[in-house]
Amino acid sequence: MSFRLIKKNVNFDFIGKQKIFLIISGVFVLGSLISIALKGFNYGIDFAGGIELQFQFKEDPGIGEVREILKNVGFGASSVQRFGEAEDKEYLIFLKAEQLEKEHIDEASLAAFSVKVSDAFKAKLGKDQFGNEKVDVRRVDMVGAKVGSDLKKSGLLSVIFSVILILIYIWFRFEYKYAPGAIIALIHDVVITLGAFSFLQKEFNLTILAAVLTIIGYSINDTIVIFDRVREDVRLRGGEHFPNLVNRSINETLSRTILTTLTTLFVVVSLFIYGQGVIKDFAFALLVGMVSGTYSTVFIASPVLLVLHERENKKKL
Amino acid sequence: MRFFKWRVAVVFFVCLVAVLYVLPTFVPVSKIKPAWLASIVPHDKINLGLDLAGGVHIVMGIRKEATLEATAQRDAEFLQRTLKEDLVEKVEHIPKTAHIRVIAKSENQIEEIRNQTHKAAWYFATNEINGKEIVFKYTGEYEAQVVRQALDQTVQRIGNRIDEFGVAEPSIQTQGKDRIVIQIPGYKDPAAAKDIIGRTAQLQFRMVLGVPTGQLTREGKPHYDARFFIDEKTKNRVNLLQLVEQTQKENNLFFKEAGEKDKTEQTFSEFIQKVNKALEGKIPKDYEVLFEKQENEETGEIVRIPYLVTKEISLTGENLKNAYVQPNPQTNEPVVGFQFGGAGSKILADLTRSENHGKLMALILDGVIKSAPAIAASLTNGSGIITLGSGTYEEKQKEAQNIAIVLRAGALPAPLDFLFERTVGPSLGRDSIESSQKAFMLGCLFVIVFMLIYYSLSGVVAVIAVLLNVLFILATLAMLKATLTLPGIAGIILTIGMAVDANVLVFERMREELDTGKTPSAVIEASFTRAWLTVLDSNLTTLIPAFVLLKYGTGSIKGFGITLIIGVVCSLFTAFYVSKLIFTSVSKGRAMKKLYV
Repeated sequence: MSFRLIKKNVNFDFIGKQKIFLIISGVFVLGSLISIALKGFNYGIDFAGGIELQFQFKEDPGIGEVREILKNVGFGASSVQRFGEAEDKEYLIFLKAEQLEKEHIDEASLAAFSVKVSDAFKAKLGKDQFGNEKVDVRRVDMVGAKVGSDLKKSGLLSVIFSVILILIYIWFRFEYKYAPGAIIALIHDVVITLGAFSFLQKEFNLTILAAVLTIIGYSINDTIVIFDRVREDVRLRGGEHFPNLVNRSINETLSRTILTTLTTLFVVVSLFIYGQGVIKDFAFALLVGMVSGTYSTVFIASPVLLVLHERENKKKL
Repeated sequence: MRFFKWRVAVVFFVCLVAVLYVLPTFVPVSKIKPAWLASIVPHDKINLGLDLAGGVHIVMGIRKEATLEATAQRDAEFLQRTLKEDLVEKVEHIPKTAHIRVIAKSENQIEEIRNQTHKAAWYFATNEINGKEIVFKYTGEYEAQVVRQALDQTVQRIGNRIDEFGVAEPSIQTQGKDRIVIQIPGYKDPAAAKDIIGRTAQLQFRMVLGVPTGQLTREGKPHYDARFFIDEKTKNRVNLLQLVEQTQKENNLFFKEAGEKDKTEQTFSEFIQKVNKALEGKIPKDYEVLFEKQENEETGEIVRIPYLVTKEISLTGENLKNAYVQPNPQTNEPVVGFQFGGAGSKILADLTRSENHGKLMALILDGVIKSAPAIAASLTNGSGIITLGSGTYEEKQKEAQNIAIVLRAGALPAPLDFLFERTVGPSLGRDSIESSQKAFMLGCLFVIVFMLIYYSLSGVVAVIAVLLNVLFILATLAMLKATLTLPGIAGIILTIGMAVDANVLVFERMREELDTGKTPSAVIEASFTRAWLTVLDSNLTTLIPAFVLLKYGTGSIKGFGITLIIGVVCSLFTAFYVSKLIFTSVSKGRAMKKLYV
């Protein structure tokens, strides 16, 4: 026995209510842009440059003790954070390039930073009864300022490049009037995802960039499915009033749109629940981007298509 | 559907191959039973990336300005020697630049200086002329060449040292014009790794012991053969390789080569010490055994050839001023030219005195013999050439370049910057694998249950397609020897969600087509045909950013791009080949009355 989420011949009036949805989107996009302009991004060291260490302790020394040890080896300027849950006994220690400049720490001494700090922890905490160290260096990331800005540049380029390539593809596969809607919806999703990261000041790093690119690829899927259907419906009943036809196409593909989004969200949510560190943030970015992607397909891409269609008709007259 | 049986055969064949490829990743080949299965299973495993296996990833950059400046300092000395004394008042390197200033004795000699300089070295360009002063700079082409050389010699130096530790498959690659990427998966000691990478290499020249072959050189000196030596007591001719191999066997002394299973955790220098200890009394006491490493280009097999060299270090790289590939003035074939300065040129003159002619001299970089040319002439002014043996022009050119790189690596340290480091401890990698396995299971379970409830029997087809999809992705990864990274796993999990999409599109189509009152088999055919273009379009657009990731991404992000691409291609295959086949076979077997979707 199977069932349906969306009833047969359902016909929501998406197009008629487009103004409300455009306003909602406008608010979110504007909010995102304002946040990006005012708060900026909390760049991870991938982009900002600097060093980040992740330590796990056998017995929690407490954040004060960690700071004290860092101060003793001359890295008192580093930021210290708990990582994960308290029972993980894990700490993140990082120094970003801008702090380095302030403290006059050059990149050469930074290369020795991780060794110095872990030696200091080992010396201070000693060994357990089995002769094992009480501290475990989980991860060391060091990114030179030059590499950081290179990565930032190539990251931005890759986003722009992807969008342009998709624009060309859609232009080529569909007619001209379909392309802008798809691209505006794409940019909408990217801006909202970036806005969420800026607003929550979540760390923005290479993995998140990969997530943004994934969103670009994913969000366009929905749009293509609907546009494909519009094109098919144009062939089948070309005489129909175009806005009605688009509305019909959206409704016909509605259950697919919701189902696919749901199944993909399932797996993204499971990544969010069980993923650690970067993967958790990666999943978060996808969550935001996918919800926005589904929304924008229905409420952004199609109205833009209608506007362009009308303009095309006016020209013909 | 035409060729139905063939299609079924294709699917079964692909599944079989996929299972065979995935097997070694989960079960060690030695544990696969029965034996015939183990023998046909491919040995390629899915490699775990640094973030999963733990290890060190370091990127270093050549300091271009400093490298060029050091080169200009040497070239100023070279110009000083080359330009006629009656022309030149002074040749000096301008500090903090790669420029050389030549001050002429009189203004009208500038043109002559310029001509002589360009004749002696093609790579100089005139920067400015100001009265009696002329300033030379390097051509852009030469600057690039200098940086390239610095890059090559650093790769040589680091490769030589990392080898010493025999760790699992270290990789040292150049990136772009001036960067070096070093990856050592599974390496536990990042501090030691950095030490190796940062340390200056030691270049030594030592005399090699051998026996006269009976043939004579042109000037009537004997040729020496380093494969044998004369035992001092018995006066017998001893085969060195046999002796060393026998001694290794008797004392159970073996060195794990990179990639081999680590049993003893010893470094290569510890290994050499032990071998020499065991050889004591069997070889002349002023000599020790060192090895030359040779790699078979086809099989990748590593052979280490022993040489007996003096314990005394005759000459070090400290006094080596320069080394380069140049054409032999007589034969025009590529040779290695080198230049010693200071005390070095005196020692060199002594080493190459006529009684040593025909003997071999070993070039040793960090304890590894790199080349052992025969001494052919007395070198009295500190400079000389190394000619290459037999081979084509290209082979000689390559060999000459290799030797020049070794010499430079030991003498002219290239200034380096640490640009990027990522070290992941093994414990973090293990935790990451564990948590992504959980996420994978949970995601799969969600999708399977949902599809079964929502589409009933057709849902079963979707589930089969999705599971096969995962199998095919893993098999392709193994086949391509691709590296699985943490974002890569996220990519696979994500593809599960996306692979369902193709099925959902088809099933939703089926429901619509069913409403028009078609027969089940007509519905199946129509749905797959109509959904195909849509799915193709949407998958191709997913591929666009995935390829961009591949192009711009680094390390683990690249891994994500790879899995995404493989995932998209596999999901097209499972949805439109496998799923369709299942539907057709079911509707074909008996006249299907109802399509459960």
